[in-house]
Amino acid sequence: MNVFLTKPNKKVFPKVLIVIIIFVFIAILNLFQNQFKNFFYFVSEPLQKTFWKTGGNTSNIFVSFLETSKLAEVNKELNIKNQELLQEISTLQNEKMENQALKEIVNIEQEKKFQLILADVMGVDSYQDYILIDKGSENGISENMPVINSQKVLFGKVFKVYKNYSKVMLISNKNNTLNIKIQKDDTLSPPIYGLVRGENNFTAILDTVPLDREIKNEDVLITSSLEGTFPRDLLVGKITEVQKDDLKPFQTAKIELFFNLKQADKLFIISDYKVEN
Amino acid sequence: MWIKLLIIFLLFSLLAILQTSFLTHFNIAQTSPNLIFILFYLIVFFENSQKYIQGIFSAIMAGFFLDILSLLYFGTSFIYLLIITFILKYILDLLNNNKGEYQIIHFTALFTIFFIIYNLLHLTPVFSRFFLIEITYNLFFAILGFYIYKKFKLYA
Repeated sequence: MNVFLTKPNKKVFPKVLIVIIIFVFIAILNLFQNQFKNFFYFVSEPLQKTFWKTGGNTSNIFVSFLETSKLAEVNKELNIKNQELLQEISTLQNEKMENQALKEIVNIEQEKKFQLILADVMGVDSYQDYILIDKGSENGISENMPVINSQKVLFGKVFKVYKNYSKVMLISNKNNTLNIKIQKDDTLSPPIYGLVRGENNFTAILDTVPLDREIKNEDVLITSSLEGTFPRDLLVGKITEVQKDDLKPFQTAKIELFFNLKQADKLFIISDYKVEN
Repeated sequence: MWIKLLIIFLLFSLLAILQTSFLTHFNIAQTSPNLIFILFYLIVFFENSQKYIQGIFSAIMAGFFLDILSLLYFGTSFIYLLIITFILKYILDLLNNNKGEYQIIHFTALFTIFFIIYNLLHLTPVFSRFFLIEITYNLFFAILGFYIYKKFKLYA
């Protein structure tokens, strides 16, 4: 007779066994977590891509319907902006001629530096500000590679690589900090540098800008490449509200990030960026 | 019972994919609904407070999909949801949760509390404007789910 399997023990035993099985199962899942996650993404990829595209199209219909009433106002604003831009164009035409030759050389150099890998967005983890793309280690992706779109708008960097898929940490992720430069018309004054800190929910703030430097709304932020992860001159965002407090050593600002996930079907991963000296 | 568990599994899979792809385009103030948590909560809420099979199975499934979609280790969300299952069942037992007129009040209040607890466990800041919008957005889907659940008598 088995002395351990008395009547009360017989009732408890199956429950304990179930708990043990669950924990062993969790341990196995964690041991092979990269393979499991890669497999799940592989199986769900067709459905996920279809839903992603359908969602984008449906939301576009909603947005265009909701914004119809604003069209007149937007049109008026655009007309004014257009006139201003026309004036600017004529001024810039002359400068463009002078800079053309120099620019071409710089561009060629930059093209040489960037090897791009095209990837499709499959999904978004909006709780932690990550996106899932359909390229992984098999396609030459590795951690920390910068991710941009065709307009050179910075999205973030590759954070986790699976065999066929990767997770990209957006610049709005709360664990992300990024060195930026504020683009100014006045090229004679020294450049203004700062730090963009992610705040989750696809938002970020500008920090550590010295108090004596003047920044204003609509100023554009570009990467400065000081941290060595991102190439310089990638578009980051623009300032929407400057917050100056004389008691603090630095000024901060609310910013609007340029990346738009709703229009981000195709992204590019810079696969061979080398830190500039 | 097995068919019911299979349906629960399929529903969680579908919602997981829907949540990360389709619904991302319908963010309100940068927040999106957590359909996996909502379905898990609905199942636990409507299951008899003396029974645990569906609740625990939902915690396993919801935890599995929440972890697979995030960068968390497997088991993290499952343990959190399991804790929520037991506390929720205990409270529902104390409230003697009948199918009466106060059920929606119980449902809404408990959903809000457990949604906050769940986010706190994940170290999500809950004292922000975004979180207020997020909880309202999630509550909308949860209440919608509540009436769908009741309408089709899915708890039976």
